[in-house]
Amino acid sequence: MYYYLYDSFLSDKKYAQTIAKIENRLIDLGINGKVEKMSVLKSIREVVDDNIRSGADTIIAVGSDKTFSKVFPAVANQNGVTFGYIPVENSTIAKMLGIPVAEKACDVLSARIIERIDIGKVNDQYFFSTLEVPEASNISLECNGGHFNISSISKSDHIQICNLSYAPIDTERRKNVCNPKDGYLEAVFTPKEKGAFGKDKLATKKQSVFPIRKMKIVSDEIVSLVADGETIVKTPATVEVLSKKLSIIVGKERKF
Amino acid sequence: MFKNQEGDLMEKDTETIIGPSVKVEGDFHGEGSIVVEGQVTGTLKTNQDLKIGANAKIKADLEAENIYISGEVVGDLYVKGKTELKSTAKVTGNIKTKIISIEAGASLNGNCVCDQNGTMELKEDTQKPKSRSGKNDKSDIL
Repeated sequence: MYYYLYDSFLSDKKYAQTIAKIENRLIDLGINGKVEKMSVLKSIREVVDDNIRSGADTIIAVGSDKTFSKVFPAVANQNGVTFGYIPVENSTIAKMLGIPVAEKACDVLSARIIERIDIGKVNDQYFFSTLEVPEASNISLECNGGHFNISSISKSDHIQICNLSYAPIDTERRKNVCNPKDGYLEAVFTPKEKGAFGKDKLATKKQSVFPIRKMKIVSDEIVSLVADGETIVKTPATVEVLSKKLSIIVGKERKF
Repeated sequence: MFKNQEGDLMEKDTETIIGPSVKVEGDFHGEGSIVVEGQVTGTLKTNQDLKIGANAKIKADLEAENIYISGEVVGDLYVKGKTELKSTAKVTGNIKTKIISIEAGASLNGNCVCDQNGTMELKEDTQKPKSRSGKNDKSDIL
């Protein structure tokens, strides 16, 4: 049974037509199901848990990348439940997953190509794509139980811990750097260099890439790490990959 | 397949890249091929290929299937297959390998053992002297 969780911003009139098209297409394909709208008064985790207990085996987040990031942790905690996504506007996560926008995404859901993919965990929070480490002095990654540590020489590298990255990684040179099915997270260090008009730009050709399963991010001062552009976690933080934790519906045009 | 015509590692086969802006300290054990352009201190070990770039500075013992060196290495090398020292390579340490190739201009300060029979043994078994109790003892070396 399908269960659709709409983000609260979809109550806006400008999305009414898009939602109507999506719902019609779902009925045409025979994959319509129970619909619920997210609100600040309802905990997403509780709503998802209740519906899984009522027999839902596929949870679909309808909205934006923020909706995706809010809903997938609740689904990842459950066994035997598949996650799907219908973006109503242009979405980077959807592009990586090979899911088109709005009613066209319904066809991907109907085709039901399911992949079991890794997700990242930082302290107690899950993240799907990237954990951003802000520029700060004396940040280092302690890996392999402290056997070795990695740090930036200039202390000014842009550091990301990626599971499925849409961040500026030199993918032309390094195909599949961030493959969410490889059982690793990639720690990517990108140095900065002076570009035109003296502005800093990321030197992707000088990137460092470390495939790592578990690491600890430590710093002299407390630093805020940003997971999936939303969740904020303070250092020191333990980051690990949860291999094949999430069953997700993907399109044929997926990037991994 | 791993090398192109110029003997360089192909990027798409590379799994770990230690770029010029990064420093690694400690015992780094990689599972895939490794390219080093930055700084490494400690030990660096992989079961595949290792490429040391021209600007890399390594103060570590290295162990790999094949090693291609263009930069500076201070430490011992244990190579199961081939060791290539490019013209810009500077190695201070002992090398134990199956095959070695040294370009004109490269410098090597240390002993080199080429074991063509393929009976390479692990570093712990062959290189480090052991005391009678079986433990490594620095005083025995001195």
